[in-house]
Amino acid sequence: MLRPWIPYDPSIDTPLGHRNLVLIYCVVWLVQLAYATYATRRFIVSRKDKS
Amino acid sequence: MASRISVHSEGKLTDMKKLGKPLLSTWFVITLCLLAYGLYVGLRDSPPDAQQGNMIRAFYYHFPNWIGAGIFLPLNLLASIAYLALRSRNTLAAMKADALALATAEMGVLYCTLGMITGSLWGREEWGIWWTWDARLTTTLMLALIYIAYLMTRHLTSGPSRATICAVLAIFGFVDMPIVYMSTTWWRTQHPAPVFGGGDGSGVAPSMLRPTLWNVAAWVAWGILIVSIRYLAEFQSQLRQHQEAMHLMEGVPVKETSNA
Repeated sequence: MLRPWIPYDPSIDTPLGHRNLVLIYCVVWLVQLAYATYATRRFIVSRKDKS
Repeated sequence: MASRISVHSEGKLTDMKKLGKPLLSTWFVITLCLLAYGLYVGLRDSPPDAQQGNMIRAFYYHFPNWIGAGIFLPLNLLASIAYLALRSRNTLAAMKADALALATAEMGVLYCTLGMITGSLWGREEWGIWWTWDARLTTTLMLALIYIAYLMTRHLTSGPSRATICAVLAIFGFVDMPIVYMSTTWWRTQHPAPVFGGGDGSGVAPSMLRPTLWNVAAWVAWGILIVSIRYLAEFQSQLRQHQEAMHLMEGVPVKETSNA
């Protein structure tokens, strides 16, 4: 999904470099969103337990 | 730790919650805007590097992770010290410090892990290797493992001494942090010197400064947002446990507790 968004110029970039760059952006977003989901779920559970 | 939290304190907590919700929502919107702009500047509005080509854009998502770890792990240290100082004097404040210690440790570990993953992916392209046992990378791995051990201790143990043990562990664990920072100065490493404050020749090119700073601001804002949510969840959970314990202690006759 992010692949076309990430600039790639075959004259200065390698296919491996481009793949790794895509992975860097995807991994950061996915891991951060996964942890944000966990934190939010814990927050919702703690509020439910209170009431 | 077994002192009762006063009605006055509970009233203050309700006020804080009323104030916290709009503050958190505003911060959420600001963070999303910063992240979107950071992504745009990093990918579209900055030139490729003369040597690294477009791979230099890895830096805009690698560097903020270390700034995040550099903010939240020291905060974990401060919260741990505060917990140890307050635990026998102010139950509510100690509980807050302990909840903050957990939230910052989790976020610090997350940033540390992401810093290593992004560094590895970048290093494979630029150095030709995924990993090397040089001083910077090894001490960083040790730092991550120390804080993972801290989190495992927190999640796998229970009892009144858990928070104290974890606070002491956090203080000892933090000793590795300055070693990580100084490792490129003290030893010859594959990893370059720190970008900012790394001595002569450190710093980034003017064209890279804007995307770097925007992405640092965005991911730090994100870290503050998620730490706030995690802190509130942990604090509410600890407060409920404390209130339940107090309720049980008050409900059980003294004779029965002394026999048990």
